[in-house]
Amino acid sequence: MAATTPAHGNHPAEAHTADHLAINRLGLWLFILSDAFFFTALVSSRYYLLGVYRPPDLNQALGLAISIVLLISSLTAYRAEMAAAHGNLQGSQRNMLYTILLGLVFAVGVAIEWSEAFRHFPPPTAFGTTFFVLTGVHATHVVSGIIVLALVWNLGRDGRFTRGNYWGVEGAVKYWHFVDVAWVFIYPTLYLVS
Amino acid sequence: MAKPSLGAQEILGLAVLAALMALEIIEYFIGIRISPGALPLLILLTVPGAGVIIWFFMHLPQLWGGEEE
Repeated sequence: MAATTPAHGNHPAEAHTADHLAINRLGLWLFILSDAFFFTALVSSRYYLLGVYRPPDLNQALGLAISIVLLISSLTAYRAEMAAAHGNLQGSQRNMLYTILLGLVFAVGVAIEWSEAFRHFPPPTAFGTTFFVLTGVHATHVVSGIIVLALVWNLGRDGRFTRGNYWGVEGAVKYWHFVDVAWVFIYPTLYLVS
Repeated sequence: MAKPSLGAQEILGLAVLAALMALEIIEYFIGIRISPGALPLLILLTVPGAGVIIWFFMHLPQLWGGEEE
């Protein structure tokens, strides 16, 4: 498989590093794929249980706002990775911090959604069950993503990453993008389908 | 092929974000204006949106060595 073939140079140490990176990437992608199956099952349960029913009490403005916040956080995460790849470690740290802050804003938005949802469609209702499970599982991913980004940011403060060695940044950022991809499907599933 | 500059990659990132936001806003208006029948249109918009993130932000082509590092 291409992912396990040396990508750089002919020097054995360089080839070993490239192999190691390729294996790390493949492992992370397999993890993401397995997690995607989990989200797929949850999203499909919405259609199985409720069809395209949508309650009128959803806070559409808040749903759109937090979706945009998460999309912007994907850009800052991307910039953090690109900056690290080009050796701009300060820029990487700064963008990582922006990503963490935007993630926290998203989490606060979900908390506000939940406080409203408890009133309008509590968990024992069919839509409530779907809503709380989907947003809850996703929010768990968001919180774990924030923790991972914060850990990587802290490592970056100690100067652990260099231009040629920034797998920590790349891995955390890839995971964050996956959280965004999951929301790209969850948002219309919960808020827009009718 | 030479490695793209940081500036070029930042422009690409902004372009991707602009596309994603446009898709999201179109989805929003479809969701609140078109009822019933929004589902096929939403799928049509959601799948490319996710694909763009996976391709450009998650660098899927790296898996088969299709992207310069």
